[in-house]
Order: sequence, then C-alpha cells, then structure tokens
Amino acid sequence: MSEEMFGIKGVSFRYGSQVALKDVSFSLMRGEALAVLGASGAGKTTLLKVVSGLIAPSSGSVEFLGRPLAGHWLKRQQQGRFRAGVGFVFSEPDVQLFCPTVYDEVAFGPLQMDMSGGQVRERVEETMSLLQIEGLRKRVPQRLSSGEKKKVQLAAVLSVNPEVLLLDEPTFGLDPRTQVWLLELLLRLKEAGKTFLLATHDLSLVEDFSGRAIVLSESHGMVANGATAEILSNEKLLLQVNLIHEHAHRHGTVVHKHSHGPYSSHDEH
Amino acid sequence: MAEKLVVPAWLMAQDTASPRPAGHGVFLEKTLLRLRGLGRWFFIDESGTARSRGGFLASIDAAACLGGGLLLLAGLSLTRRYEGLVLAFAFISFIVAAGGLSIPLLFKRCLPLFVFTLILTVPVFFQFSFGGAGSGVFGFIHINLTAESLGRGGFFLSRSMLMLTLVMVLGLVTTPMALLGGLRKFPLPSIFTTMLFISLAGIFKLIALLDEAVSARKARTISRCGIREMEGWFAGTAGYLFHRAMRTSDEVAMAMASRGFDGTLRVMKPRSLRGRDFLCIGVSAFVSFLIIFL
Ligand SMILES: Nc1ncnc2c1ncn2[C@@H]1O[C@H](COP(=O)(O)OP(=O)(O)OP(=O)(O)O)[C@@H](O)[C@H]1O
Ligand SMILES: [Mg+2]
Repeated sequence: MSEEMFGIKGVSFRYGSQVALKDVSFSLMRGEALAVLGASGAGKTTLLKVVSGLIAPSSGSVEFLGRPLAGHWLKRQQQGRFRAGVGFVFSEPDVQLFCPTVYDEVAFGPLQMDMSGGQVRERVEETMSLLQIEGLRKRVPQRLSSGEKKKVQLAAVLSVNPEVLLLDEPTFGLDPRTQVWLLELLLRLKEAGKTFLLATHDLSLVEDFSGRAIVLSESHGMVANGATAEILSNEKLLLQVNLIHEHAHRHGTVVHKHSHGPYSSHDEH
Repeated sequence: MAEKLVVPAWLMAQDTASPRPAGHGVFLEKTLLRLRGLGRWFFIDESGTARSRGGFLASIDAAACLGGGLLLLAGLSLTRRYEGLVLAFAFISFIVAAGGLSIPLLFKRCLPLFVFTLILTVPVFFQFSFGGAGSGVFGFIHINLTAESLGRGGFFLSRSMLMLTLVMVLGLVTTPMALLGGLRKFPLPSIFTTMLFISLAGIFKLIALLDEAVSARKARTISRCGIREMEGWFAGTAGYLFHRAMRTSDEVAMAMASRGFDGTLRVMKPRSLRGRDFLCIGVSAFVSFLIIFL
C-alpha cells in the first residue's frame, strides 16, 4: 500500500538499570496514524525519543526510510533532512520552549533549516495564524497558560513542516473545546498525507484519529499491534495493561463489577 | 489496580487544628523571593518594554544599537572628567525621552544593580575599616573621609551607574534575540552567539525552576517557618534545583536537536544597515568623543 517510514526492530532501552522498553518491533507506514498505548511508565515517551533518534536504543535498531538511524549517520549532513522530516512535540512544554518570545520560538526550526529570512517570516506568520496564536507573538513562552504553551509547541514543530509527527500526550492539559479543535487540525494534517506516531492515554482521541495501535505493557514489552477498533474492544487486554480498570459499585442492594475508564463499554444496569 | 484502596483516616476527616495565618516569612525567604523577582525583571517581565517598541528608536537596527551602545560605554570608561559624565547623562536622558521608554521600569531594573555597586564600592573608596586607627565614628567602624576619596568614590560610582543605566536602556530598546542577531553583524565566530543563546535559554529555565520551587514551597506551607526550617528547605531546594537544572538542560538540548539545532545557531538575518542606523552610530561616536575629550 505504501512505503515504510520507520522500521523499529527489536528495540530495547534501559536508563541505567531501569528497563524502559523491552524488545519492541513494529513499522510505521507513510500516511498512517499509529497510536502507542500504555499505562504511565510503560515506556511511551522513551519509545518516541528512540524513534526520533534523540536517544539510541540499548539493543535493536531503528530504520528511517530503509536506512539505519545509527548515531554516526545522524551526525552527517542528513541530520538536517531527518530533523526537517521528523517533528517531535514533547509532553512537557516547559522543556521544549526555550526562546525569549513566542515568535522566536516558531522561527527557531525554520532558521536552523537554513531558510531565507523572507521565507522564515512567511512561515512563522502562517503557522501562527493556523494555530490562532498571532496575539501571543511578543509574549514570553514561560508565562503562557498550559493550553497556550501546547499551541506554541505545535506551532514550533509545524513551522518546519515535518512529514512525520511524533506527538507525546497532545491533548494533555487542554480544555475540551481546544481538544476538539486539535483533533480537527490533526485530521486535516492526516488528510494532507502526514504520518503520525501518537503516545497517549486518551482513548477517545485514539478511537477518532488512529487506524492502528500498539500496546505497551507495564513490563515494557509490546503486547498488541493491530487495528484500533479491535484493540479498543478487547476489554481483557486493556484491563491487563491497566488502561482501564475494573470498578465495583452499588446500585441499591446489588453490588456488581464492570470495567471503567476514559473509554469503556458501560451497559445499562 | 484492583487492590483495595487504603485511605488514611485523617484524610477522610476534617482537620481539627486550625491553620496559622500566613506570614511574610523571614529573611532567607524574602531574599529568595527577591532573587526571583530580580530574575523576572531582567528576563521575563513583559510589561513596559512593549511600550518602548515603537517610534524612531525601535526602527534602528539592533546591530547599530549595539555598536552605538558599545561606543558610549567605551567613552564612559575612558573619561576622567565630571563634564563627560554630565554629557553622558544628558545623552542617555535624551534617548530615554526620545524612545518613550518607561522610566519607572528602567528605574526598577537599575535599582538593584545600583545598590549592588554601592555595596561593593563604598568600602573601597570611602575606606571603611573595622577597628584600627582613623577618625572613628559609629563606635567600631572607622571612616576615613577625605576630599580625595570622596571625589574619587563619587566619580567612580556615578560612572558605573551611568554605564549600568546605558546597558539597561539597550535592553529596553531591543530584544535579546535581536541583539543576538545584531551580534552576527560583527566579525565574531558563530560559536560565540551560539554560546550566548544557550546561556540565555539556560537562564530562562533556571528562573522558571526557581519560580516553581518558590511556589511549591508556598503551596505546602501555611504558616511562616523559622530560620532553621527555612535553611533546611533552602539546602534541599538548592540540591533539587541543581538536579533539575542538569536534567532540564539535557532535555532542552534534546528539544533543540529535535528542531534541527546541530551546534551552530542560525538566527534571523539582520537586514542591512540603513541611513538612520549609520546616523545612530555616528552620533554615538561623536558623543563618545565629547565625553572623553570635553
Ligand atoms: N531519565 C530517566 N532516568 C531514569 N528512568 C527513567 C527516565 N525517564 C523515564 N524513566 C523510566 O522509564 C520508564 C518509562 O518511562 P516513560 O517516560 O517512557 O513512560 P511513559 O509511558 O511515557 O509514561 P507516562 O504515560 O507517565 O508519560 C519508567 O519506569 C520511568 O520511570
Ligand atoms: Mg510519557
């Protein structure tokens, strides 16, 4: 159907003695939106960092467009090409925003790509109006609300126009209206042919956005890889990896148990 | 997650002890708050500077501002006469007035620096000594006040204060990124601006961390605490800050790399200098000349 953007082959990662990923393999095809599901601490963030080449796997390999993403490959001229091609939106905005103003923040990426001054200015203006943050241009990123920070972060990554977007908890900290707005934006970008790798606990976002999902267990291994609809309806699997939880409660004199969570089937009692 | 949840009883009940009212804290806490405030003024205060971005002064290229500023600083550091200082004062006032800069803001930014210089220089020039011979006043502090030391000290102080004010004015007229861009017009290796940028980003992060630590402490304590407790907290916080700073700098480095930073910072190409920019540099050079040789 389409070309493989990323091939992740038997990747493990350890922070010192702390295991974060255990033998994870999957491929990410061009134009698809793949969700990475897993409870807190399962290794989703670590996986995105490995895929983006920011940290090198302890064992296994990552291939980008059929070529291994080894440390020395990244250091050569292709680094720019890879960076322009792969955008990473971190889950903590405070880490990703490091310029004195919002404008500088959005301009940072395009400037590092060696675009001309005029091109950069145009890009920045258009990105800011896409994300509706023109009013923030002179503000200090540190002083924005979490939702505003999230938008600036997205703008800073989108202004480079990456082919692949790695999103870590994109809806975290957004109000419901902004979440809907973000989903619409992401769907538009998907239509435009962008590829997504999305780490989240937000199962409703996954349901609306991703066609395929992989699931990381709490022991950091990959336990499922398949169509989103199938995975989300596999209650046993979701319970096992702690994405939803069983919950006992009382209706009158009857006590009964059923699964509960941000996404779960809840029949009439 | 199916285990039974054990909630401590006290969490389920109303606390009987009533909280003591919040106090303003002791010296150390005040110092810390002030330090944080200082950082904010310098780096992340947004009010007031925007007002100054407009009109003739704002239209001058950052490189020209930088060049003019450096020339005036050179003039100030070379002059040996009060007339020079008066002229510099007049010229700085002119810039402030012409640029419509916020005087309270400027004052707010300069004051801590003034106090700092005062503390550093007073003992040197007024020859305070603790004990020993001299025309003793105030019990154990002896001050040797001679016309010469008064003149020398006063001159040095006014000169430093003028220089500091000039630097602060420069900070109000341009933005940090514009100044970095301006620096690129000088024949400096690019690693220089890159390093400056990284320190700038680091300072931002550090202030944010300090901010966080102070608010976190405020959120956890209701009453003011004693100096001992405060010292303990301070030591703990310093350790935490150091740890966080290391980890954050690691993550910031990753964030920079993921947006294409490869060790050489590229900044917005400054536009080429125009007539008004050369005028600005020329006037600065002339005033600087007058300051030295008046
Ligand atoms: N810098 C680090 N040093 C040591 N251990 C780390 C580090 N970062 C993460 N870990 C550990 O690695 C494991 C995976 O962490 P990761 O951040 O990838 O989880 P996650 O799935 O993104 O969780 P969350 O949903 O809470 O964001 C966790 O056990 C975590 O404690
Ligand atoms: Mg995470």
